[in-house]
Amino acid sequence: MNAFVSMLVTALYAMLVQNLVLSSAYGVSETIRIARTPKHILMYALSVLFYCFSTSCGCIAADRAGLTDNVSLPVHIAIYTFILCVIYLVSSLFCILVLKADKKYMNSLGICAFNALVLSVPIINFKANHTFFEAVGTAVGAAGAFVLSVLLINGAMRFLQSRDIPKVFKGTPALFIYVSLLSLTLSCLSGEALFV
Amino acid sequence: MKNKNNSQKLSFSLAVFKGSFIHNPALTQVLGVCPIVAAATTLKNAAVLSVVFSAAVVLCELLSSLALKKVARNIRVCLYCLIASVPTLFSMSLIDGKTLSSLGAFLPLISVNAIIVVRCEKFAVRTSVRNSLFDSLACSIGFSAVALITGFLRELIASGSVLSLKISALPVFPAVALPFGGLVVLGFLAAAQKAVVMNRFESEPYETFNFSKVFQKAVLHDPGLGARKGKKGNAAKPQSSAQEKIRPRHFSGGETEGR
Repeated sequence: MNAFVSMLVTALYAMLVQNLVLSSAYGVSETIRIARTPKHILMYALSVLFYCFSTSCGCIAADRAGLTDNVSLPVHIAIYTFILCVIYLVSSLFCILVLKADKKYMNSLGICAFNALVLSVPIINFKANHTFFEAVGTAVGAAGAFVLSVLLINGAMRFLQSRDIPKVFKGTPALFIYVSLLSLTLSCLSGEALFV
Repeated sequence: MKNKNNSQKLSFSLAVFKGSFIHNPALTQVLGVCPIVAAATTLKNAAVLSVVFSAAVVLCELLSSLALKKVARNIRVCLYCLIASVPTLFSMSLIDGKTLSSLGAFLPLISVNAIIVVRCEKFAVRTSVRNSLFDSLACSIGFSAVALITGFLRELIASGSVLSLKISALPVFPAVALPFGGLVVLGFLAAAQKAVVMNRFESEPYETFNFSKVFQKAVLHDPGLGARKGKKGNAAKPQSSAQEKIRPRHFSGGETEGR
């Protein structure tokens, strides 16, 4: 029960209090780019959840197995990167051979696997010395933060070409400003000192 | 710079100017903004990020163009990440502890930066080594310029200093050091870049983040447009001014990933 509670608390923290995408800016560019195609959000969300979860578990397993004992920080992160690559290759093979996934899906799988959000999860777990259940919670929270961010960004994207916005701010500049306001809103939840 | 012209020889100055300014990866395509937003909080941090990123993107694009053209796509994407992690992780052993801790996890995360993967996959593996070198230098200059300007402004506004030299006359606003501040600075930089490109380089199509799919959704929700499409010459007026406002009048921009 305690393990489940700690997993849930970690997930909620990573999703709402310290939103990994908007408050911490992990994988913000991929999130913004994916937000323009909301009809694929479920596929992206499941893929990101899978890669966050599997990389997190794989890296925790490597730590527990002693693969990362007595190594420097760069080597430690190199091992994490290698684990992510192995997971991506195995999942790609599975999608091609078993699920017969089409080329379009396979192209998007790379975006889901190789982004800062997915690789940041094992690094956060390592730095925060998380247990296995907390690591799972961080992975789930990261995927939740991704979905929340995509929905929040997509919700306003159609208004970013409004006539009320000055011409030079239309499009990408307005998008940046809008995401910054979302980031500010969520940063307030984390208790950061903004005006002191 | 477009894929169909990949076989053409690009002049160095034109390639660098277009790649770094007109088609700036961070400002126009929203690529690889994560380290700029989160870690470029001071000029020193921005300089470190710029150097490491430049080394990673040049190495990755050159090796992609030289040796990865025949490799399967899924394996290639892994190799981009592994190649880019070499200079990234090597730099971690050279940087002092204070700077490393202030950069946090964002220095090693450069190895999965979107610019590296997109430029290698969309450009480097389809063109010559020479063009790849020019493109990687253009991307490096564009990223570095944005990172350095952002780092300078954020350090100045957040702590009233530049390169740790205190400028006491300026009021400070610490929140700018948060990702929120980085995104605001990026927004204003993108607007400035867009204004210059629209006024001074009218012949160049302004490449912006592609909203077309969102537009389609907005158009589908507009009952007035269906009537206009169905009956030529008998165009129905929009249902309300609010719907007219959200409908795009003109979309200027190409496919984000299809450069």
